[in-house]
Parts: sequence; structure tokens; C-alpha cells
Amino acid sequence: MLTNNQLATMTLRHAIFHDVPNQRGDGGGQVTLATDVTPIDAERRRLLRSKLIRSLDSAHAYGMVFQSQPASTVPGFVREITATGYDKAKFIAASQGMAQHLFQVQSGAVSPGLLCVIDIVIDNRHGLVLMKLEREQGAELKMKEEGGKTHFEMSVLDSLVLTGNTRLFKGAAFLRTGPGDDDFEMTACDNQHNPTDTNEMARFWQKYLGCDLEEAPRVSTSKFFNATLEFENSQVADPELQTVIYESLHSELRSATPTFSPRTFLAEHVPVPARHELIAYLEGKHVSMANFPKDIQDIRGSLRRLTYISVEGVRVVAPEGRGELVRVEEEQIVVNDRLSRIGRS
Amino acid sequence: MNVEEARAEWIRVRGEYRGFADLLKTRLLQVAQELGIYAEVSAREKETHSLVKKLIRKPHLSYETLPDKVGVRIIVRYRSELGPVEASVKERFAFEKVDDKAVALGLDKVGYLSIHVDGIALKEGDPEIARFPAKNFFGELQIRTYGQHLWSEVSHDTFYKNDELVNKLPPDLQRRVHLTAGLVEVADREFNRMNQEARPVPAVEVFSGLEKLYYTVASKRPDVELSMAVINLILPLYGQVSPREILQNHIIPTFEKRRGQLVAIYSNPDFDFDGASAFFFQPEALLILDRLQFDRAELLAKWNEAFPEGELHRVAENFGFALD
Repeated sequence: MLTNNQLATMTLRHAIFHDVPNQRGDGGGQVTLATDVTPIDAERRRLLRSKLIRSLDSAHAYGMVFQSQPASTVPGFVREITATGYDKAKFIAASQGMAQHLFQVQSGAVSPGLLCVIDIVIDNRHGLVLMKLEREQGAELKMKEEGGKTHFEMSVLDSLVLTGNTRLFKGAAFLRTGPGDDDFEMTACDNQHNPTDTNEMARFWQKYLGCDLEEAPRVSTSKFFNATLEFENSQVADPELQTVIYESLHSELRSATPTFSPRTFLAEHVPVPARHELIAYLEGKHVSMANFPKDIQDIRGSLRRLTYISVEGVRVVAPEGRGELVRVEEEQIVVNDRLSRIGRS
Repeated sequence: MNVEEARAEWIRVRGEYRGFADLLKTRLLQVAQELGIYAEVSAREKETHSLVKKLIRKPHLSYETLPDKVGVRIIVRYRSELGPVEASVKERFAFEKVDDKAVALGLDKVGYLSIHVDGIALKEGDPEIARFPAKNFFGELQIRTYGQHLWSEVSHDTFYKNDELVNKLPPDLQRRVHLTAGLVEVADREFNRMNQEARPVPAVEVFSGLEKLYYTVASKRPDVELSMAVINLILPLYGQVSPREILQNHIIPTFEKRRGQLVAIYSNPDFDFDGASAFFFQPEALLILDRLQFDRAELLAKWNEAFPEGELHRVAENFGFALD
């Protein structure tokens, strides 16, 4: 996944737009392919870059890897274009190929729009950005012809990207980091869908890109859970704060919300300065602060707890499957463990 | 070589010396950047008429021995910064001699002050030494404060430029010249002391720490009033901790982790900063960066109490962060 540092030094060099309608049942609908790049002035370039950063570092962004045997042609085009320096003819041809592929897979349920392909450089490394922009009804997109070549006018950015309701789009950035086929840092974002939703609409963008999530949700979930518990046990001295972190972590992970936001969790449940320490701790353990879809299958046992409630209202909560820790007798409940801390709620 | 030959030769080679002057300027800016101080550096090769004038006025000098065919100047804000700059220059460059004008003035005189490094040239082993061999390419460097520069500039074209000229003035005017030179030196010393004594104020202490880091990656001068307003607004987000702890435990680690990228962000000529936030070329941008990393939501809430939200979005994007 691209880092903030990488996004900060991203330079947009060339952009091309293609108009990609939906596949219609009657076989109608035509892709309008540009045959030249669209010249972009400095201010629009800055605004475009700003929009990209807002998407690629947003809560909807996620890391990706190429599928090993993708049905999509996108990985091949991305590998080919970024293998060398910028080659205008190759860039235009590949962008047209990606637009054609989008047209082939874009069924009636998926919104039509423009595919924008941008040649980028980050830290002297070559990369590519794809943006699928929803085309508003009635938006006038002007095609310009110059020297026998056509390109969409720069004003296309004004109507589709830079003004109005422009948060709704899908994007992806590929940054080549080495000569190998999989030597890429990749980030995708889909402002309309959760990356782990299984329905076709949600999977559409990943399938088109020929990519899978970089880290399986169950791995992200258990990494965050385990690292936070480790921190709570080893770095937090205050028993009250230990209890707050422990309880809120369990509660948030067991809630019905499909996505977990580490930043929100920290902001809502961990006070400063422990919050800063926990962030640094997670970073040290290579636990991402990006949102992830919850999947508790690896930590299900740790999250399940049995609660014993005494006649006088004493509650003993124990991990499920650890029956040896609590022995219930006729007149008493015996806890076979040492006291670690006392919590107050 | 007579004056006419010197003129012709200088016209022929002047372009090469311009290249040497540019290189010295770049290297001296790096010196200031590494020391984390703001410095104004200028460098120029002598204009032809100026070179000829000097050869006529100082017949003991020849074209070959003229010490300031290239003149370089580095001006710093505070006297306490002169020493580190001098030490770093001595370490990085070859030179003939260092002449501290304060030493020549002695204890009981006031007047022109500067540190002159005569015969400054590239060291053996420098990657550019083949292009600019020390035998031919050398210059004169002046290291001074703005206070010293003030005196030097005002006196340069007047009758009180040096003792020889001042001594020809009526006694009362001579006294006023000395008093004024003393005033300028006192002011210079006071600026230095005030800068150091102001640090116990938390926001100033944080600003000083931020400024030192900032000048290692950027060279644009900030708006200090704006800096203080931002620092005072954001400091409470760190809770009840001292400025020293804020710098040591938060800002410096965040900065060091991204130092390389920050150099690239602030100096990449391909990067278009026309749309950069008003807060980007400010030392407190590094404070904002730290909070973006750790407390985006709280930063945004606090920020909105005093400044336009759009500016925080911009500075965040300059650092590659989204606030949404």
C-alpha cells in the first residue's frame, strides 16, 4: 500500500481520458477512445493530485496485490507501461486497452463513466493511476481534434473531478518498486463499496483491476487485536486504563459494524498520551492504521467469554474453552488464577 | 599581465567563475541547512569594470593574485551562529586564512565586523575539483550577522568606511561615527541574547526546536506571528507535557523518520508548490505533520477554532495525508 510519504512526492505527468458506457443488452453503446493525452494546466494538476491523495489515503483505501492468474488485462498493461520510462505511444495504447476491458466487464448495473489513466512518478519510480469517474447525466464532455488526434478537453476535469459531488469514484495507484512482475506498491479505493463485500457490485473494481486485498481481513483483524492486547498487558500500568482498552477492544470487534477503524478506536477509547504510545507500538509491530474489514475467525476463541453471575451480583468473566480457570462449587465460585489488575466500570 | 590584458582575460573566463560562484553558493546553503539555521547566501564573480578598478587602485595585486575575483557572503541572524558556520566552512573547504575583523579592532574599538575567509577553494578530493582547481578558482567569503551587514552596507560607500577615512573627519563627527558603530554592535548582541532568553516561554521554545528542524529541509522564511498562533493552538493537544518532551518524544522522532522524504518534498523542483498551504513553508508545519500522524481528528477540531479548514486540508495533502 502506498505510504503518505509516497503520496506526498507523487508527480502527475500525463493523463488520458476515455468515455466508457455500459454494455447494453441490445449490443449498442460505444467506447469513445481518445488518441492523445489531455494537456492539463498547473492548477488543475494540483487539484487532481489533491483529489487523488484524499482518496488514496482515505478510510476507503486498501492495499492490493495482483492476482496470480487474473482474468483482467489490467495487470499486464500496468506491468508493461511501468517497466520502462514514459513512452507516449505505449501509454496511449495501454490506456485504450484498459478502457476496452472496462467496457467488456461493465454491465448495466455498474455506473458508466470516464476512465482516466495517469502516468505518475514517485521518488524516481514509475507508476500509474487509474480513476473511474462517474459521468453525471447531461455532463458535456468535449472532445478536441488536433493534428488528426483526439483528446478530451481539460474542462472534463472541471465537470467530473474538481467540482460538485466528486467523492464518488473508484481509483487505484500502482507504483513499480523493482523489475519483477509483482514488485509494486498498490492502493485501491472504492468510495461506494467495502473491499470485503462479496456481492458482484462490490467486487467489480477489484476484479477489473485483477487484484486481491494485500492482507486478508482475518489477518488484519488478528494482528490488530493481538498487538493491542500485548500493548495493554506490557506497556500500560494503570489498571483502569487496561480495563478500558481490553473491554472496548472486545466490544468493538464483536459489534456488527463490518469495518474496523484503528484511528477511530484509538480516538474514542485510548486517551493521550497512551494513544501516542499505542500508535508507535502498532507501527513497530507493522500493524497498519488503515481501516480494515473485520473478520474474527482467527480470534473467535479469544473474543468469546463466559460470564458467571453470583447471587449477590458478582460477575466473573472468563475466556470460553478455559473451564479450568473457574470452578463452581455449591457455596462458592473459585477462580484458579492470579490477580493481574482490578478494573472499575 | 597589464590591466588591458587582465580585462581581456577576465572577459574570456568570467563565465567559468560564475559557475564556481554558483557552486560555492549551493555548498554554503547546504552548510546552513545542515546546521539548521536560516542564512542568506549570495555569491558573484566580479564585474569586469570592478576588477579593473581594483587592479588600478591596488597596484600590489595582480590579476592572478586578486583574492576576490569571486565573492561569497553568508549572513546569519544571530552572533551565536557565526562560530558553527565558520567551523563548518573550515572543515569543508580549503582556505588560505581566516581573518576575524573583531580581533583586529581589539577591545577598545568599534567598526566593521565580519569573519573573512580568504582564498576559499574546493578541497582535494572534491568531486568538482577537476572543473574548479584550487590553484585558479578561489574567492573571498564573508560570514556576518544582519547587524554587521547593516553597518557594512551603510558605511561601504561613505566616508566612514574605515579608520583611515574616519580620522580625517572633524572630531565630533568621528565620535558620532564610533558611537553609531557601537550602537549597531550592542543591538546585534541584544538580538542574540533576547533570542536565547525568550526560550523559556513554551511556544517560543517549541518554535525554536521546530525552526532548527525546518531549516534542515527548507529555506523559505516563515511568518513568525502565524507560527506562534498555530503553536499556541496546537500545544494543548499534547496534554500537560513540557516543550522539551514534546520535541524529544513526538516532533523529532516523527521528523527523523521522514527526514529524507521531507527533503524531497520541500526541494523537488518538479513539485508544484503554487498551491501549497500558507502553513506549509512554516516551521510549525512539522508540528502539524506530527499531529496528522497521530491525532488527525483532534487536530482538525482544534484547527477549526482558529483557521480555515481548507488550509489544513492543503497542508495535509502536501504531506500526503487525507483528512477525510
